[in-house]
Amino acid sequence: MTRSRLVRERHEPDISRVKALDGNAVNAYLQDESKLTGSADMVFITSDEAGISSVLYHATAGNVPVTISARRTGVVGGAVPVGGWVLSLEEMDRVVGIGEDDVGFYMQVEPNVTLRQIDDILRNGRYRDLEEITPGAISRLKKMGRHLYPVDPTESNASLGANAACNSSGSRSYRHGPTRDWVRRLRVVLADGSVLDIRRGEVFAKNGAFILDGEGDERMIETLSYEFNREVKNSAGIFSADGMDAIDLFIGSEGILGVVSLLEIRLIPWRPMLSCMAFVPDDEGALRFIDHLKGLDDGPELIEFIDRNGIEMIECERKEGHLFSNMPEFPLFPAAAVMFDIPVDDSLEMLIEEIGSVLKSEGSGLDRTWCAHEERERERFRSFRHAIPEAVFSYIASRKLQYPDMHKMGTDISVPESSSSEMMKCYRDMVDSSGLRTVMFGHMGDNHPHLELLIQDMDDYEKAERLCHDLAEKAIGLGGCPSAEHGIGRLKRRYLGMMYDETQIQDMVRLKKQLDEKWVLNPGVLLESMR
Amino acid sequence: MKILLMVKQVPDLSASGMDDGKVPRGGPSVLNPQCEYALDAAIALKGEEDEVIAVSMGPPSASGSLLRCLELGADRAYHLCDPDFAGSDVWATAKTLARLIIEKESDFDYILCGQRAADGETGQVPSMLAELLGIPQVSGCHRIIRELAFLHAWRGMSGRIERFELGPKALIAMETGCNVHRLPSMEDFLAAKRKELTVISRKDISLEKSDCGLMGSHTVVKGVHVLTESREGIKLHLDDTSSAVDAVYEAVRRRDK
Repeated sequence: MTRSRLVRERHEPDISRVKALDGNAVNAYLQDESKLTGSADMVFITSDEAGISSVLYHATAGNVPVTISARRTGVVGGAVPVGGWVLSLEEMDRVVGIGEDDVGFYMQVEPNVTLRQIDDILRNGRYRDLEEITPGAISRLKKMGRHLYPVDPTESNASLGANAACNSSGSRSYRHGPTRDWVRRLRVVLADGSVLDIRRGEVFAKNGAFILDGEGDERMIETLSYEFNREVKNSAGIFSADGMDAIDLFIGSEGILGVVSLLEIRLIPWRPMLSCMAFVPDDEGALRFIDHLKGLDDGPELIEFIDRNGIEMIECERKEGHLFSNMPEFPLFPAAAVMFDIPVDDSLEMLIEEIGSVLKSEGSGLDRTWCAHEERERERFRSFRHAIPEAVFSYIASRKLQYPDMHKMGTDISVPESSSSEMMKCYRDMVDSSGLRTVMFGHMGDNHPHLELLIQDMDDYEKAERLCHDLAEKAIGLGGCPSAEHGIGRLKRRYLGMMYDETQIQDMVRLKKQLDEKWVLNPGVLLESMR
Repeated sequence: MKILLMVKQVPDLSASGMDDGKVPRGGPSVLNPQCEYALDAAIALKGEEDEVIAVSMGPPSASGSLLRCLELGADRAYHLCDPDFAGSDVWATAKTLARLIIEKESDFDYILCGQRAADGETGQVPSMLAELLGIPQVSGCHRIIRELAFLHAWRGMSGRIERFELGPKALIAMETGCNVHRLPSMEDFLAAKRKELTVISRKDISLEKSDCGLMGSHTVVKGVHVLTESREGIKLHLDDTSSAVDAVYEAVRRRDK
């Protein structure tokens, strides 16, 4: 039996029990990985849901803007405050326990738990300090063998709460989908301090609305009129669908409708994989090879791409001894690289032979690859891939010393499979005519590569802004999304206006006001602040 | 030249860390890091006519480490895998390995091992194996080169470097080696899957139950304790570099006394 009624719970507000920082101590909370810098008067650090509730209750009562902060690994400035208070969830990092239902096992976590933490528990069977959310769940999980949380955003220090807030995805979403598909339950604190406990499959919109209940104050929360684009990876805008599940309203809403205080995420059985990295002489050949991988039955779990510029950047780092000094030489250079994971099963040898013949036709071969089956080695591949965005972050940080207004510029565009070739041609043409230095890497399985712009000065910066804008416009025209996994945050708000018409944006504004009348939660994130 | 390469699969401590001083079980495993050095050395020594044979004793999952050896250039492998081998201490392990060598590969020229395993950290199996086979051994090596049928092995010992010249029938245990990490290709992986990997049970090498596994072991680990640093740190609150340097100097001087 489903319902459309959301019941509010309440904590007794008591802000005096929440740790507070002011003065210079707030400086550590003014920046995230976007390198955008903000300002704040105070920082509250809470270790429980009641603390979140108390801070939000007082913020709404006093009409003070609150920016939610956790690990600050976001790249679109979502955690960068614009005055008022910062509410840091940094102490809410406990993995609570394991439960089991008809679908399978799930893990209950506080919002600041990282992907790295849950990976450590699941990989090494460290269940000792965890609670049984349902009786016998842990002993059954041990018996069933190793499990995995299938979503793997590249930044393993990112928090699960933030992943839910911007519906993060990552390389494995090619096969498993984004965070949204794996969240079973959320507890969400609303701007007035009340709390919703939402389990997937229980509360659905009826006639375009939910009923918000509790404390004798019943109101309608009208959902949005548009249909959210689920054809591509998409983390832009608030989710909306006919008869939608209430949990989806909060996943991907970037913390502007409520603050996640607890999550339950689904787990799947782990299976052994062979991680491979194939080197192909040029970008075009690598992309054709990727098309072939996509056509395989029970094909790769993930498909990642690094263009020739990216491999060249790594080679420079290696030669200078900064990173990868213990890495062997590339089996082909210069080259683009394709990373993919294939399951280790009876058909593996046949599959490798097939892959070999495709590589040969692209001027490469099985001898121009690396592969790994031990997990330590597979992890090295992952770090290798992650090193590119890190090298870009460090490059931008160094330029920012000279140009304080500069921040990271890159794309986060996804397009439908049918438009992938056209979009890739666009990247090539537009980058060539801009004259900017770029590297491209990322999730080609989902037609979602990241183009990072290595801007040197403010002239480049302006060119880069134009380029990103033009690419976003082109992608939207092709049915794609300009913010596939990073969210809109503060930096990409103008893309929202390109994806949604004014009526649709006003629809989001109306929804925001229904849940946060004074617009205290993350003002300026996703939507322009109406404060 | 026939080189026997003795390797062990161990828990991946770089990923898992320790649990209260104990090695966690049930997590992912890897080829023991010092065995990687032995593998690198064996492959570097190998000429066209030579053979490198990897040997490991362990549960079924240990075949993963043998596969890595085969990928990176070993020609074939033995996997000593039998529930009767479970619980072996250093003595029972050395005895089982020695029996395999005597029964199956007694015409070897050299044996290469990692000095110690990252899980047990005893470092005794190489020496025991050499004694059981009655051959000379050099432990703690960091470099080996080949000169015709002879090997030259280097090790650091008490502040000096020692070099040994070894003729056939000798054992060398590697402490360190080259830091460049090697990655096999998919071609190597495919070739490795097609190389000979022989699974050996206790009966295959005519070993008595009382000579291996828990029954053949002389030692049992009864407990593991974590030793914590008992000396407390000192906090100094100082305004300028010069007085900070003086204060640190004075603190170190007092501690040395």
